[in-house]
Amino acid sequence: MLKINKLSCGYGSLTVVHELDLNVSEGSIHALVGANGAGKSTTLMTIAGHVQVKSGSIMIGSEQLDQVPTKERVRRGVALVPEGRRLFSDLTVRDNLEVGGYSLPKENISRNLERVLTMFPRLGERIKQESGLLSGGEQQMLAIGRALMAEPKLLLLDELSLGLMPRMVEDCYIALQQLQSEGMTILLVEQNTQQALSAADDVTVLESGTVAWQGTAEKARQDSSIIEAYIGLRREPKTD
Amino acid sequence: MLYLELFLQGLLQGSIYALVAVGLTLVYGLLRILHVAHAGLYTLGGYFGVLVFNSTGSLMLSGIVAMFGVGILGVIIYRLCYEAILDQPPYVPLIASIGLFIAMEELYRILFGSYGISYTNPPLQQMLPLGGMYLREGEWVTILVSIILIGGLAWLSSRTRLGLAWRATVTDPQMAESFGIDPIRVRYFNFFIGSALAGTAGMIVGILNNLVEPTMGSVPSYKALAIIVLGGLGSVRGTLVAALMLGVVESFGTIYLGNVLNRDAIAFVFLILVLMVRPQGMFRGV
Ligand SMILES: Nc1ncnc2c1ncn2[C@@H]1O[C@H](COP(=O)(O)OP(=O)(O)OP(=O)(O)O)[C@@H](O)[C@H]1O
Ligand SMILES: [Mg+2]
Repeated sequence: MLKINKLSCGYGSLTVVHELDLNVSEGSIHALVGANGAGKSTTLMTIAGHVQVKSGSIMIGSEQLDQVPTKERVRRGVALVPEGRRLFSDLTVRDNLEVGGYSLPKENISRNLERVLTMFPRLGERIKQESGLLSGGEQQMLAIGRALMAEPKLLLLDELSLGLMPRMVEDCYIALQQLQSEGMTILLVEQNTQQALSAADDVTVLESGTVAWQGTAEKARQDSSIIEAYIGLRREPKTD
Repeated sequence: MLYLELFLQGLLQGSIYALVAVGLTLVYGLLRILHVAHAGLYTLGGYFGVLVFNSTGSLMLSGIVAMFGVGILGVIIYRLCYEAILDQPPYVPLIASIGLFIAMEELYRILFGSYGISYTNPPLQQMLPLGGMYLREGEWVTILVSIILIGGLAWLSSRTRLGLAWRATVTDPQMAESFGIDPIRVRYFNFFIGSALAGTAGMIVGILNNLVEPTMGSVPSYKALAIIVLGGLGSVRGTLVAALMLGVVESFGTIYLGNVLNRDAIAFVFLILVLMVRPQGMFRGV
């Protein structure tokens, strides 16, 4: 589904990710883990079209995604839940969700809206509220909901559990599994490695912008020395 | 009755300020550029109005030309002048904008003469008493047009897809683009609307004063800059309130302080006083 081939990318003259190879097969959850500054967010932002590709390619299906203009990528099935959530904070919950579905016809928007609100009833209760005034957890739900509004085939998720209490993290991961069972492909960036490994099918460990380890999540779970060797296993979910 | 009439006169002046200042706010909110040349477009609206009216006699046609012609020119200015320097530090577009404003004034002087143009057959000058208020037709029309345009803008921004795209882009252009919104189209739209409002205001002022001169944009340009600061930089609602307040303060001020300060001085004293108390402006948010 997503095939990243020798991708180098970065900001200006600075290259942050070097020759990254990464495959995410259809309907799987792929966890991208690594220390702070390893280049995880940069990788996701590059796929979404916000960071410059220096060499290599990003394929989605048989199409070369890096040639597609940023604003068209959502129509190719790519939706992003960015680091820091980046909601449209002056806009209401409803407006945020409608922007999420901006690329789709009206009927789809109202159908997806219903779906998202069933998934996150809390958002329904706050539908007219300015999104900047939501709690951190609600904001995270909204960021996910906004991405789901676009009916993505590939969901890019950055720091799903950051700043959330354990209950909320559980809920979010249950939601992920549900999405996966509906056939969605997910590329997941996590600080909370433990949590990521339990949900993912495959894992890539990034270290200073290069792949330090790649394999199935099962293997990483069994042989915890693998992850420990690179970033150390975090048992406690990190709170802001 | 005097109070009510002064108040109405103030709202009238304030609604003209509002039409000019909203465009400035729209540009500032989206691109963080202080678009000084906006006042040059206001003047151009005045010229379009008087020239088209004097040659065709159709108020409707002059209104359309002033509005759409200036709107389109605003987009062209964005495209030719600002687009290439958007990622420069803010003083670069500011200087470009000031230069452009001066160039526009000079261009009007060369093209249309420095003494200004009047309506050969001035429209909307009859007194029209309505609800006990004695205003000229042109003044009633000003109030009506302002309400329609600002109301239309509010509707566009809150009820349409384009408005949604615009508000999202103002808040986070990158994320807006991620969801399929074309930021370039939003900018064109933004400049078109803002400039069209300024062009309309210029035409209205040309009719009310029965004079269009190359420098008629200077004072409104300072005032509009001050208004958008007062309104909280980038907040459309704040700008509207600030513009109307300024109009009313000026209107009362000229009666009570008129022998000490002239109208424009009163306006600036007011602005300075407000900004001393609330340097962040009176309002925040879109
Ligand atoms: N906009 C930017 N301009 C320049 N350098 C950047 C920019 N964003 C990130 N970087 C640099 O790129 C490197 C990788 O950053 P990135 O945000 O991708 O890391 P990360 O793996 O997501 O880290 P974290 O776990 O802290 O979120 C860092 O050294 C960072 O300083
Ligand atoms: Mg990151």
